[in-house]
Amino acid sequence: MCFTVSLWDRIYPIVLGLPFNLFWLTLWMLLTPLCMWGAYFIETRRRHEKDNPPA
Amino acid sequence: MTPSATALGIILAIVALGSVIGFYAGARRKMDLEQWTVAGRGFGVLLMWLLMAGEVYTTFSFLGASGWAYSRGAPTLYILAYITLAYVVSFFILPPIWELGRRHKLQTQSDFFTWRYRSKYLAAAVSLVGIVFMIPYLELQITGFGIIAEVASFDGIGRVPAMLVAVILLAGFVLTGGLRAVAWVSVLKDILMLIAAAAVGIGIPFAYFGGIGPMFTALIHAKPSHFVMPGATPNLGHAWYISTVLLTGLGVYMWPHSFGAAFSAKSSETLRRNAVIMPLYTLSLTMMLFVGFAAILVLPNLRDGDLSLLAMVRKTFPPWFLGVIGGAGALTAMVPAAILVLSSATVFAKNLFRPLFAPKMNDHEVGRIARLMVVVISLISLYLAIHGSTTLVSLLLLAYAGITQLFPGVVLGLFWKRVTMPGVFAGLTFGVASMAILFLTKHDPFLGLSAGFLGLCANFTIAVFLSLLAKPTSQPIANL
Repeated sequence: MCFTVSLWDRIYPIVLGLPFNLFWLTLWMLLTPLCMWGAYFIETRRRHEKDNPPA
Repeated sequence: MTPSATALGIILAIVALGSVIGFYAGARRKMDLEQWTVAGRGFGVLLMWLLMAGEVYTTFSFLGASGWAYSRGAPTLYILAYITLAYVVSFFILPPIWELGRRHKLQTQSDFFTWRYRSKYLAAAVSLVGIVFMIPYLELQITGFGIIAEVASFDGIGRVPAMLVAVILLAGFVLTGGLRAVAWVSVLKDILMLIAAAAVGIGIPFAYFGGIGPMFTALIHAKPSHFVMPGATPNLGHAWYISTVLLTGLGVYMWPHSFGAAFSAKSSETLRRNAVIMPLYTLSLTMMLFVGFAAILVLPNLRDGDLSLLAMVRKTFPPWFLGVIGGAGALTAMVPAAILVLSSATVFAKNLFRPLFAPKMNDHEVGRIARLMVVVISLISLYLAIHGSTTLVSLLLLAYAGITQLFPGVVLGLFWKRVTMPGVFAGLTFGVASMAILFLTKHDPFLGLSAGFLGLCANFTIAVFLSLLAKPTSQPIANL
């Protein structure tokens, strides 16, 4: 992920009025909680199964 | 009333309100060491969220971020990335740390090192690194407080007397309330900070440019090179960005205070949920950057970029609102500063002084030494803040370059059975020494990479290599 900087560190295209690099980072601030929520969901289910093994 | 009296009056009222909340929250409980440092391990999701937001969103995000946006440009974007990365890291490391803390009654980061590596000397070294690099972080907070008083008083009050007042308030506050006080003051701080971010981040672009889009159009037209890396700097390019994001993102939870905060959670579940929602809070930082960028065209000749946010507020809004923003800023300096002082003092007394010099000391006496250290550490930071002259972001980067050197010890300790004490100790020593040499000889960034990151790579390699040389032992490690 982190080696993509040179791909998104640019001004154009301007999205929602933001230079592209700023837009890109802001977008990830919104996507990260979503991904984390997914991870949380998987983790919780795994722990649940560990505690209550299926009969 | 003159504008400065109005603004200062409101700032004082907010700080006073914060202090009352703090004193009240702390006053109703008996303060033993466990209560003072980890608040009896009883924080639920809400208080935990407040505490963690309290320690991550410091005066650095308030003044430093906009300051760098103003003076450096695009490299500032690293801030948005590293905080988000930090929460991802926290999702994986904090729950196991909490679990160990509960099982083995750990209160501080150094307790973890003592327990995992069975060496009081390594734990003492870790404590020392923690305390030494907390000082620039604390210096940053105190400087921020000074800047606020300076701008809000329309340059009537110098930074130095303001910083002195800040330190006195801070010490009083920490000594009486402990961690619980800090978390509750965070409530007020976060509400004010969110209001401030929304009001200035959206209000200012609209006031001067008619919107955020038009603002960037005007800015890009005027200064296109400011908005791609390396911005207005000679050497902060992509390599610097990547290495700095990694360094600081991995470092956020290596701070003795943020690491220790994990112990005050009620359950590991609390910490996981926290990690999921925290990144959203980072959006407020984008707003702070807007203000720094707006200042480039509106106030082109500021002598110090760190003044940009408050100077813009002062120019745009009536004095009472400057007071509200200043008050929010003052609390964002006080709350993290309180946490920093509290944990560095505890670590000093409990993990450095007692094991090495006075092994027979009881918890009560450790508490006394810790309270004495609160005063000592505050005064050292005050001294440095008065004599320092660097930007807020540079102070933070220095602090991170040091503190992240603890990362290999923590992560290998948690997830790799074979890691050994000598490996971690040698890695830590080499990492800190190499970053210190590069910083002192002014070679940061080195070959385009952040000096702290290079130290970290060497540190990690040494720790792994030396551990592999040792014979596998049956170290007791918790089954996670």
